[in-house]
Amino acid sequence: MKKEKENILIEVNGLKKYFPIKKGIFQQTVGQIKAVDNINFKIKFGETLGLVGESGCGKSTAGKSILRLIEPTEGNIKYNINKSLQLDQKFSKIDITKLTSKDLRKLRQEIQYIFQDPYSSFNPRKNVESILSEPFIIHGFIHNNDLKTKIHNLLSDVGLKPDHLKRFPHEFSGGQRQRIGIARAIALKPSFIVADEPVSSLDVSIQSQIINLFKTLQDKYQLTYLFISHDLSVIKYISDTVAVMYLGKIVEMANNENLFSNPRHPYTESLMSAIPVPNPKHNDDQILLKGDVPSPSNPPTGCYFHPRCKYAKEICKNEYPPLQIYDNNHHVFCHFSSSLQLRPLL
Amino acid sequence: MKDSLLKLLIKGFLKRKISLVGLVIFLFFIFCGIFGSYLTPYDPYKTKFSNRYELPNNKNLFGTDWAGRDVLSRVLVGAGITLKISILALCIGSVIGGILGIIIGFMKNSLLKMLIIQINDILLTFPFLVLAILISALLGSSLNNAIIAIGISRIPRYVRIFSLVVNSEKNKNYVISAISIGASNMRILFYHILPNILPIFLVNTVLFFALTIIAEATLSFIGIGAQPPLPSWGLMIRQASENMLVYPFGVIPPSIAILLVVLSANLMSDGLREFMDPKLR
Amino acid sequence: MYNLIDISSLHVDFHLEESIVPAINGIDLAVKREKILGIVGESGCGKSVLALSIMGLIPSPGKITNGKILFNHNNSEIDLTKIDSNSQLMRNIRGNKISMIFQEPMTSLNPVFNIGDQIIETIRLHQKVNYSVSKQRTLKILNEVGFPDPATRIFDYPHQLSGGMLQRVMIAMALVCKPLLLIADEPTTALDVTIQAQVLKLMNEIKLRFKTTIIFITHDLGVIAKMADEVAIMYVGKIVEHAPVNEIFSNPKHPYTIGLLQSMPTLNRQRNKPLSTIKGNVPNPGEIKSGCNFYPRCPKVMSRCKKEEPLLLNSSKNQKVSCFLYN
Repeated sequence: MKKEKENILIEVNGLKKYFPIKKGIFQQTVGQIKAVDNINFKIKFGETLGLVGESGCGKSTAGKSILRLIEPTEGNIKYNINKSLQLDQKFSKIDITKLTSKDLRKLRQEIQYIFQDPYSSFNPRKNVESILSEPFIIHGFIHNNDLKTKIHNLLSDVGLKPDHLKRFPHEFSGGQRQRIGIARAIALKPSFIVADEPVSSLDVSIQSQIINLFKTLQDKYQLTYLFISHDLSVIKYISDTVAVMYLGKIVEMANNENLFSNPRHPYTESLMSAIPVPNPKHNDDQILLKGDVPSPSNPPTGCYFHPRCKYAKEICKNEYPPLQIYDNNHHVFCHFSSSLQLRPLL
Repeated sequence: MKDSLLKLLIKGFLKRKISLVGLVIFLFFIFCGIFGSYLTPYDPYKTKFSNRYELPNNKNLFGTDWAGRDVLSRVLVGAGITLKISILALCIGSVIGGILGIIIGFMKNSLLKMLIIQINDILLTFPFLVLAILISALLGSSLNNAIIAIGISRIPRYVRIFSLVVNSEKNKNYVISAISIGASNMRILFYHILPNILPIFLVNTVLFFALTIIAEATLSFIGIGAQPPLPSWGLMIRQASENMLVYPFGVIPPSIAILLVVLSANLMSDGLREFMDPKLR
Repeated sequence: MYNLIDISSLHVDFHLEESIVPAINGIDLAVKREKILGIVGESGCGKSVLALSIMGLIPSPGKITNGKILFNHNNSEIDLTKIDSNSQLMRNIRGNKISMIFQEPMTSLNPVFNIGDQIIETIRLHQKVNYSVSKQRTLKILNEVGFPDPATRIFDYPHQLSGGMLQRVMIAMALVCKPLLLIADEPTTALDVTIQAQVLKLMNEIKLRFKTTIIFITHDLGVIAKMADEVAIMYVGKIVEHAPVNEIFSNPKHPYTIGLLQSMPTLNRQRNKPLSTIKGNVPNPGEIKSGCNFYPRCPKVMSRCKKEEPLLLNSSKNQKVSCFLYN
C-alpha cells in the first residue's frame, strides 16, 4: 500500500468548479453551473490518464482547474514535487490549491498545459524563438549562455528545424503549430502535462504524427499526462487509465483494457458504440441515445444520465448512484453496474 | 520586435499611397510648427491700419487681416500654437487616459471596477466638445486652460477603449498560456498585452489629434480658448468671421490650414490600418 | 441510371493579391442518382470549394476558370458553370433542386429569426403556397427529421437549441422542397459523437425515404464507411482515388488513401507500436509545381512522380486511381 502511495504524482480530491449565474441589475447569483462536480482521481508517475467526454461535460474546465488556470471552487490537489524549485513551502508533497501565487508560478516549471488551438495560444507578434525562450527567461535560466543550444534541442525533439525560429505562428500549418506548443511545454523538462484536446483541431494524417510525438516525449522525459479528448479512439490508443465524464462528474474510471473490454456504465457503452467504425461491412447495431445532453446549469435529478439511459429504473431518478469499485480499481457510478451486461468495444 | 513594428508601419504607409500624402502634409505642418516663427516674413503682431483687408499680393501672400497684420505670418505662428496645444492635450488625454484604462482593464472583476466603469460611462455621455467647453469655462479663459480642458475631456474615451481592450486581451488564450508557463502580471502586461494594443493606441491618438485641433478652434471661436492677439487659427477665424461682410476672404487661410492638418491626420490613420492587424491575415 | 451530376475538368482559382491559388486543379467526377457519394479529404484539399462550385456560391476572389458541371434532370442538361450565380435560374435551383447543409449549424442559421420562419421562407421562395400551408409543411418536415415536439418549438430561436437540433433544422430546411441533390459539407463534424450517430441515421433514412442523392463531404473515414456508397478521395485540389466504398476499405490503391486508413487510431490496436503516419505536411495548393502533388510524402515515390502528373484512370471495373503504380 505504501509503495503505491509513493508512486503517485498527482492526486485530485473532491474537485469542484461552479460558475455562478448572475441576473438582474445587481448581478445576484440565481444559480450555479456545476461545470466540474466532485471528481477524484490519482495519476501515477509516467502514466497517462485519459479524460474523455462530450461537449459540456467539464473535462476542459477540470484540466484548467487542476493547474489553477481557473480557480477551483472546492477540493484539493496533492502533488509530488520532483525538481528543486525553491518554494517558500518546504515540503515535497504539496497541495496546489494552497500555494501562494509566487510559489504557484515557480511550480509551473513542473506542470504544463497544452492547448487545443495552438494558434490562439501564441502571442501573434512573437516569433518561434521568442516563444521558446520565454519559459527560460521567466524562470531565470539564461545565464548559462547555452540558451541557443537548449532551443535547438527543443526543436529537434519536436521535429522542427532551426530556420523555423525567425518565423511567426501564422506562417505554420496546424500540425507544426502544435509542435511549437509542445516544445514550449517541455522546455523546462516538466513532470506533469495537461494536454487539452491537443489533436482535435488537426487533420487525421497529422493527428497520428502528433500522437506519436506525445508518446516519444513521454518515454524520453518520463512525463506524466492528463490527456483530455472527446475522441474515444485517440484516448484508447494513448491512455493507461481512462476516466469518462458526463455533466461534470466522472461516471466510470478503469484501466484501458478493462474499460473497453468490460464497460460498466451505460454511457460508456453508448459512447463506444457511437464511434463510426471504418469498415463498411461492420454490422451496424448502434445504441442510439435519445435526446440531447442536458444543460450543466440544470442537471437531472438522481443519476444525471437517467433520462437518456435505456436501463434506467425508478431508483435512478431519485438517487445519485454510489461509487462501486471492481477488480483492478475499476470505479463506476451506476445502480446496476453489477448486473448489467454491457457491450464492449468490438 | 521593435524593428518589425517599425517595418509594419512603413509597409502600411507604402501600401496605401494616400496615407503618404497625409504623412507629407503632417510633416510639413510639424516643420511649420517648429520653425514657423523664424520664417515669418513680417511680425505677426505688428498692426498697420493703413494696410487692412488686403487680398493676396506680392507683399502679403495671404493678404492682411482687419488690423493690417500679415496673414501668412500669423498662420505660420498659428501652426506652432496648434502644435503645442495638440501635443500637450494629447499627453494629458491619451497618456493619462490610456494608463487609467489599462489599469482598470487589468483589474480583477469587482464591485469597485464596476463602479469606476459606470462613472466613466456617465462621463462619456457628455459629448467631447461640451465637456471641453464646460471644463474650460470652469478654469477660466486662456489657452493653457483650453489645453487642459481638451486633454481631460478625452480621458473618458481612452479609459473606455483601453479598459475594454485590455479586459478582452486578458482573457485570450495567449495570455492564459503565458500564465501557464509562469509569467508574472508585470510581464503579461508589458511584454504580451501592451504590444498588441499599441496599434489601437496609435490610431486613436492620431484621430484624437484631429479632434484636438477642431476643439481648440471651437473654443477659441467662442472666446474661451486662445485670447487675442494670439494668432491661433480658431481665433483668426473668429475675428475674420466678424468682418465677413467687409472682407470675406479672411476666413479662408486659417480654415484651409485647419482643414489640411485634420485631413492629414485622417489620411495617416488609414495607413495605420495595416499596422493594426497584419499578422492575422 | 444516369448521373445526376457530371463534373469534367473543373478548375477553380482564387485570385489573391500576390498569387493565384488553384483550389481545384482538374476534377472529373460523376454523381450517381439516389446514391451517397462520399468525398474525403483533409483541410485545403478543396472539398468545400467543390461543393460551393456546384451551388454557384464560390466566394470571391474565387472563380471557375475551366470545366463543366452538368446537372441532369427533367430530361435536360444544364451546365451550372455557365449560369450566372445571381440569376433567377440559379436561385430556382438552390434550395429547391440542389440544397446544401453546412458544418456549423450555429452560424448557418440567422440568429434573429426563429427556425419556423426560416423554413417557411424557404418554402415560399420556391413554391407558390400561402403561409398556413407553408407552416403545415414545416411542421411535417420537422417531424420527419426527428425534431422533438415541433408544434411547440417551431418558433424557437437558434440560440435556444442544441447543436444536434440545429442540424436537424438545417436538414429540414434543405429537404423541405424535396431537392434532387443534397450536399452535406461536414454536417456532423461539430457535433458530439452520440449526436452524430443520431444525425447520420437520420440522413440514411432520408436517402431511402426521399430518394435524395447525397454528396457527403467529411474527413472522417469512419463516417464515410457508414454512409457512402462510393468514395472519392481528394488531395490538394484533385481526386486521387474513386471507388465503391467496400473497395476503398478492403483494397485501397493510392498511397495517400492507404496512409489515411493506416493512421487512424481505431485500427491501430497495439498500444506499444507507434501509429503509422504520413510523413510531412499537407502542401498549400499550388506549392507543388510539377509532378504528383503527393510525391514529397509518398512512401512509394518513383522518379517519374516528380516530373509527370498522373491522371485519374480506371484500374479495375469501378475503381479509378491517379498513381503511376497502377498506370
